[in-house]
Amino acid sequence: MQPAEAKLVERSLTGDLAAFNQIVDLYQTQVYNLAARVLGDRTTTEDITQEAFISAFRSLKGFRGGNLRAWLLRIARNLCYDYLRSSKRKPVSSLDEALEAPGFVPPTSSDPSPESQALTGELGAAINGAIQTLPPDQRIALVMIDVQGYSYEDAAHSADVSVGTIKSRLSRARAKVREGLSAHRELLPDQFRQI
Amino acid sequence: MYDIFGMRHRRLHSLLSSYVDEQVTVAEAERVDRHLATCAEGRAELESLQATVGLLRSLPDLALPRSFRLTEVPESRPVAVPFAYTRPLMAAASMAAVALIAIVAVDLAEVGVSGDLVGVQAISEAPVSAMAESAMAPEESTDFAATGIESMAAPESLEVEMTLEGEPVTEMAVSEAAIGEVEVESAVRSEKALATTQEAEVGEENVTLEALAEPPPEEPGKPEPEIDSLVTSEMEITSEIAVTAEIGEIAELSEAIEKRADALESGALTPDGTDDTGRGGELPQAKAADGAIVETEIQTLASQGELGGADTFASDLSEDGFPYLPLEIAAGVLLALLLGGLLATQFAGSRRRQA
Repeated sequence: MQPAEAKLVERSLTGDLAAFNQIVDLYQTQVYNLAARVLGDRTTTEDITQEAFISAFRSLKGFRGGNLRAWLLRIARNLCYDYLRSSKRKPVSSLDEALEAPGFVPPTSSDPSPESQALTGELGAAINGAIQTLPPDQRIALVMIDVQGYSYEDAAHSADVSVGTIKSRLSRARAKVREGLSAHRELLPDQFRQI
Repeated sequence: MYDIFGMRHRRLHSLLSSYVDEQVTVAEAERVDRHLATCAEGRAELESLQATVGLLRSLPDLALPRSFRLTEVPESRPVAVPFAYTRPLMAAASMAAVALIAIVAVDLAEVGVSGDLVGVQAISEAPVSAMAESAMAPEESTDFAATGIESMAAPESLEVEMTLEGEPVTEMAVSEAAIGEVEVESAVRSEKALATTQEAEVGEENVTLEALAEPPPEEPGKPEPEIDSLVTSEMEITSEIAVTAEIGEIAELSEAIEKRADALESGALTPDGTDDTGRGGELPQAKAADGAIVETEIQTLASQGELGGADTFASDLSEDGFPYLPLEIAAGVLLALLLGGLLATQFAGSRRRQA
């Protein structure tokens, strides 16, 4: 953990809300993106993201140092997982069903480039829809590693499983997403037409 | 041979996902390379996999719809695993439970009842009147019982957990937090033959102890144990409580509870048993004290005349019944306090969950 972060944590533990909000500023984008890609619903994503930081503030005294980002993502990951399990929402069986599911709102990108916007339009919706067909464990593993770019070790640590388990989940998740996107090949950019 | 080859083929293809990320061993990578050199299907699958991963990784970050800064300090999370501290009703209920069990244990030890497992169930959806019966030899005096209560004082900090799902209960933890923030959880532990059983019946009328008390039957040589005491309570209990206690482990339980309280105070144990993210809440199990210690305490008390001549440890409970407990009033009051405390925590937990 960076020394500056350690100071922010120390001040937050005394109830300094301004210090904790600096931590929020540092990691809210990552936490929000993880929740958004996993949950696929904007309203729920905002609720879970806010709850993650509230929970982090309450649990800060239990933070034993180390990687603050991984700790925050673990909280967010657990909340997402609990929501998916408690809401008893079964993964949609097909990409078409995912795109038509109520509450699904195609996300927007902060990158104004044409390539980025293309990936957040119809194609982005197709990709997110394919992710929504995955069961919770596979979905979280795929989002953390392939979408968010975290390491296998970080993903395993946040899920409290072995790296081998993460590899297995990721392999199955990729296969299923590939299968779903292959039916919408016309949406894929040329360089991705091999799917 | 074909099957083996097919399995090997599938096995190598299953490594492709990790192979894309270079998350395979050197030996595995070499095996995959050799296989791909001769398998067109494998090469096509690898290209497809790489395109999929590339597409996923090219997804841009999503724009934040708003800031998630906290505008006010969040309220402290209610303690999921409560422990008794200073709340008067909870503390009184806890002490009452220990004292009640101790009284019954002492009397059972004195009359030498045989060791059968007995469970206590209190079921009520109406004003509760609990009946606890115990029998003692006619020559037993109330002075003994009073002395027994004093000598078997409850520990200062008592932790008791109790399940409210009809399963045997070994401990009941009560929180110091506001009643509205308390959740009572219970755990079951019952592995040996028991010493005492009490059955609580629900009635709508208040009955005094004196009115229902009956003298124990007289039998030459061997008084027949009989339990006769009655406690009244105006509180309603809406949950089913099952309590199973073992005489030989009563003191063990008290000692284990004290040890855990000390661990909490010293910080060796987090109050709610959660991990570093606040997740968890499973109660640590109180370690059972050494049986010899329990026996020694009982024997010590017996030698000091505190147990009214109980020469034999209450490890045998006869099947004939229960010892007559002349202090039915005291036992009933203690039981009422216990049930009242449990009811209060149950309602408090329900209100908090509804909130």
